[in-house]
Amino acid sequence: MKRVYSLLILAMLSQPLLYAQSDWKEKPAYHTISEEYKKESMVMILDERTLRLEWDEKEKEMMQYRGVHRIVRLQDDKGVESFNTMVIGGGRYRKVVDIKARTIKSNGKVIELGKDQLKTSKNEYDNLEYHVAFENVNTGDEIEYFFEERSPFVPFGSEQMQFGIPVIESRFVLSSPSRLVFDCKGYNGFPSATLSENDETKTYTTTMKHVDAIKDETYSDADIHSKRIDYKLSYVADNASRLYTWTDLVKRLYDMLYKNTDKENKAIQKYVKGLSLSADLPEEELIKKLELAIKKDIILNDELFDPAYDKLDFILEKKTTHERGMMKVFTACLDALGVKYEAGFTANRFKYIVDEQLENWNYLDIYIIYFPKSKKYLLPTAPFFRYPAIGPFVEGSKAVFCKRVSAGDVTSAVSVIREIPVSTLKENWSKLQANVSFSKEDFTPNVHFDYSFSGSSAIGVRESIALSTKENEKEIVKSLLHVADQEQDIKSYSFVNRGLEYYSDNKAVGVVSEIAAGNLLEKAGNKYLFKIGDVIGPQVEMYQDEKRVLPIAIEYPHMLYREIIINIPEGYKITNPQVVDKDVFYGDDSFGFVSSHKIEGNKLIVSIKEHYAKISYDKSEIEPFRKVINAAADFNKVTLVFEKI
Amino acid sequence: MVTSVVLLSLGNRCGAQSLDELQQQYSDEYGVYTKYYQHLDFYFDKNELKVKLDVENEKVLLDPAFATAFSTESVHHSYFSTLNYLEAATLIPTDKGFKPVKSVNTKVKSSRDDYVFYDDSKETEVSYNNLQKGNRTSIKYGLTFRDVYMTPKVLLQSYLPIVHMKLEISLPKGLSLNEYLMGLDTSIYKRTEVETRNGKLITWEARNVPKLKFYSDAPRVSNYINQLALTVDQYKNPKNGASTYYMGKPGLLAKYLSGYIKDINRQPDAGLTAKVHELTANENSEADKARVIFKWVQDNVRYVAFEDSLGGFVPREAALVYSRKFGDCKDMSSLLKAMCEAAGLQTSFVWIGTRKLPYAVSKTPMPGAFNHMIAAVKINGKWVFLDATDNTIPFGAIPYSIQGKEAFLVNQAGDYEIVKMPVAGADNAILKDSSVVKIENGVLSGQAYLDIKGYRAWSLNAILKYKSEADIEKTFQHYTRRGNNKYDQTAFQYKFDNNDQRAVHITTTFTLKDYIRSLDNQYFVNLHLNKLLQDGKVESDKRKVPISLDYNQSLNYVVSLVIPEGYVVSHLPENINQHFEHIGSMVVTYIQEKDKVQMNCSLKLEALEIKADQFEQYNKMITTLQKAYKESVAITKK
Repeated sequence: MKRVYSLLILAMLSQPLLYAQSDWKEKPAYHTISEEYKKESMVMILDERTLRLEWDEKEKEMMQYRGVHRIVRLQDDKGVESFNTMVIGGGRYRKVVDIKARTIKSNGKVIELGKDQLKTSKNEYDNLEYHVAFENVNTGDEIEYFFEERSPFVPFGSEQMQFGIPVIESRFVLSSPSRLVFDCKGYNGFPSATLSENDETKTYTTTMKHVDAIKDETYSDADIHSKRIDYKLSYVADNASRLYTWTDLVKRLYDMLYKNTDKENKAIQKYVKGLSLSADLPEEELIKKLELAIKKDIILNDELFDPAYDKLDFILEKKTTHERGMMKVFTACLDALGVKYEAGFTANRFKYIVDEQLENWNYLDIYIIYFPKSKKYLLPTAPFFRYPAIGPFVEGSKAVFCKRVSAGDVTSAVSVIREIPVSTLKENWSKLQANVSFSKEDFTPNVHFDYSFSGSSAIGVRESIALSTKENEKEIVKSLLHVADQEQDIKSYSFVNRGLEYYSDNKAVGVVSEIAAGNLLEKAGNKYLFKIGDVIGPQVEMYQDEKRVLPIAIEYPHMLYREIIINIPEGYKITNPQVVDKDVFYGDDSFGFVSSHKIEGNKLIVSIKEHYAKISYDKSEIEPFRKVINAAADFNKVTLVFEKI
Repeated sequence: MVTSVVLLSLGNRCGAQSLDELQQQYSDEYGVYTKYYQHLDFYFDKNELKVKLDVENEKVLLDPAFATAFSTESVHHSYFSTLNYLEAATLIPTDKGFKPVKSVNTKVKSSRDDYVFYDDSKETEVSYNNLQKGNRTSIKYGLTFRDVYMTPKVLLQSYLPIVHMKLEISLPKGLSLNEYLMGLDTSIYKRTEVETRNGKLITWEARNVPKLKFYSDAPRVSNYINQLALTVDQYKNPKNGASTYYMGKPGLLAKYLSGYIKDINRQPDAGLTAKVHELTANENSEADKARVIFKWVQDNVRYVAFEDSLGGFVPREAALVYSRKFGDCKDMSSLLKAMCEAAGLQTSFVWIGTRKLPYAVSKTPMPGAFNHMIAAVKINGKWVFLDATDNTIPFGAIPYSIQGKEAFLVNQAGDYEIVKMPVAGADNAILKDSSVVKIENGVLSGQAYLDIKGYRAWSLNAILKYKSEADIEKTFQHYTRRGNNKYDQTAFQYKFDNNDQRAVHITTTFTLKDYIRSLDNQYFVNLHLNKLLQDGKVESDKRKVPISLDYNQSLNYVVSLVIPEGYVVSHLPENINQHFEHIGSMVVTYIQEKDKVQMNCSLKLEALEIKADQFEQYNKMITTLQKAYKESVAITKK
């Protein structure tokens, strides 16, 4: 059988491919491009990705050859500087097998770079990297390059086809032995591939002309809206059972997690016993205590590559491992404690939206654990999150879980897909309370702050406070509260609920501080101007009026409360208290900014409530959205005028 | 042979501190080096002088929350140094001493300097196990240096405090060294010397070395880290006993460096010579010839850095650089030199250390004093320096990164000259920003005219090379925005003078909503639309590391407010005129003339470096500025 098979392959290889890849012309011509591109620094005249599969008889393995062929016109200095040099290759499993580069000058002259002119260096995986420096490139010239990398075939992949520069012709070609059947799907407006075939080869092609450059807009997720094509090996020959399904994925996870040796199980039992967790504890308490212990005892180091770090006994002895090892430790410990859970994978929602129809395993690279009793999640490899906090990059994402099912003595795995719920603005909020008084001598403002953060609003704050060394603490206070000119203006400070473990009970982390805020005061003749707007810290503004292309994206739904109490000094009055009032509201509670004031005796009390209820809004809502964002930015400019009575 | 230092520190028995003691002493730190030992060994191998370095470092984790910071460590090496051995382990304290747990994960990676496109520097990275509080990581490695000239500068300080720092240097009989101790505070290091059987042992030692601190506005670390730079002064050749002088004097260094340039550009290149004649056809004076050549290289040859074994020191042939149209600093120097010579000018290669390095060749004559190469031409009997790696500076100007540094001119015969680079005065980088504003319906609107000259203008030119036309208005926002974030620019124009000065001129028209404060029949207008250095105070009580500034400069902001019809000026802030020693000066004046009020704020900054003992003056200047920025002009309805 084998011999016949290999003969067939040889026969296949001698046939010309059905689709001719854009060839590396012997005499390339300088291109003419249309007027609309003349203002661009760089234009990609051609961006072609090819993937061809070949059976390696010697290694008995299917290999893939990924080719990239690009022609770029460089129309100004920025363009030339951007493409003058590049590094090609240097992956872990990929080897560069062909590389060609040349300059095509505007007068038609072509300067080829010979292979010996391409400097190489070896990377940590002993693969060559090519350092290409195009010769004699001037404004207006074009550069052309082609390279092909060989690596073991991976049944799924993705090619990004949209960037920050426009592409005139974008192409993707996948060619494979005819018995393999692929899904080739385009996203965000990129066309899916069409199939053409003969007896030996299947060729999947898709082309798009004039791919616009994509820009990062304020409050947008450009990455997930960029045009791209994903492919996946779905069937072989006439076999109707689909390959690489979600169930296949979780079966692999099953093999990774549930085939531990006796030695490993013993080590886990010993470790869990040593944690002295009472069997009477409610499940959620058990989970929290276990997570605290593991994340403290075992250091995550993803640079580790030795296979020993997969073994639970070795991990527990060395107290360090990579992400896969951490997942194993968590699941083994949970089993030892008798806690019901499901192990799974999810994707970072800012990088990839899981498509249930096209099972692209590559993107599901975040380990996650689901607890059916509480319906909550845990991230075993996230150093700064503690159950049940999992953070905005997985909330709203789909996750694939391994459900263990038994039939008699036999246990196996089935896949379950869940959508991880998005937290609400009830859980994610920040609250700033400021009490301002003025010194008798020179009216210097003194502000007493109480600033707390909860849920996802605490991300960044909690970690930096928990991991701060003593000498950095004042710097953190200064960066959170924004009104101190120098650290010595911070007269006192303390942190509340400082540890990472407080994520678990969603106890708000906070800072309480008293700061001399001289820079908030200005003078105008005999009047004092107090920049109350600066008390809330600088706000994002969207004053520039640009046509919106992408939908509006918020990291997580959240609420911002601010309460500012001004103690009006004796003998003075505030002449313009109404200047703080603002009311901008949209939809049925979608987003809004409301601020108001009241005067009680010698106190002016300003209350502000700003909120964003969803994580995405249609681009048609950009105008009301800008109004709300800018309402906060406008508040930054509000000044109270104090006048002697 | 090298004496290896004791492998396992045996807890309290050796008088080493216990974990509790260390935690108390270093309560604010997450870790310390308990040992930072280096041994430099100069020796003869087959009558050839060689040098090797053996290192033993040990760190202890004091705060387990920072364990990830300890999980990997790297050793750097390249063509010039070979890594002979590397052992890494975690040491776990037991009753009988420390138990080593070997590190199993080691990998060699390419080490990349961001500014160098290609080089063969490598780093070997190790990962540690068992990072628990109280455990120590231990690393031992040995490097052999290919060339005694490449003796490294030995660092005596690190990013963690060091409990015990020791540098030992073994010298054979008859070998003497030049030792240059440098750094922010070197008083803690003690030097001793003993005779040994084979020669001499020098020891530099210190306890409780404070850790290095990093600041975004500090000079490069090399400028203040405690270090010992070394060169071999003389040695006795073991074969015949003759004394050889190696380094230690500029003349010896020049002889050494001349070896790198003696074989290049031997033959003139026909194509290059033709190009030079074409460029200089209409130029008569030496200066004009050099000027057109310099501009041509700046405009047509791109800077691409390749550091490749000896390629890192030998300039490439000018003909090759000319055909490729790219090269690094020494390639560009080679091209400039060949082209100027073809035009009949006297030229020289120039080695120089930029301000990234603290060395002056007259004080520390060694190859490591330099990290850059430029060219020089003699015009009317004086050297004019040409650095084409900066394609924005006019002929005759030097990049600000080499101001005040010593240039080392060396010819193929090994003759040399040291020329100190000038430091440009504050008038060499000028920003003049004049605006005329008026009030209309509570909105401040006006026009601004900016004139930017000197280093500031040339830096702008450099930034703009990376921007397309569409982005330029946005790029200049750093200069044009003012007042508050409701600044709205309704017109924008810019121009670069195409002469040698390359000044930049910008004109804008703008409005500022919500900027003026109004109350009843009064307006308060803060004429400081630009509040430079408002947040510039330095944390003077903790910081010892100086502030580094790129160049001296003059900044002048003039704002004229047209007084609206029916209004008078009811309050003008006070004028200020103050000088701050070692820092500069500031002047703020308010003048009323007929229907206008003009505020003139001038700032002169005249220091490339502000040292710790000058911080007080600096903060005084900032405080004075902040006070001035708080003042508004008041105008009242008649």
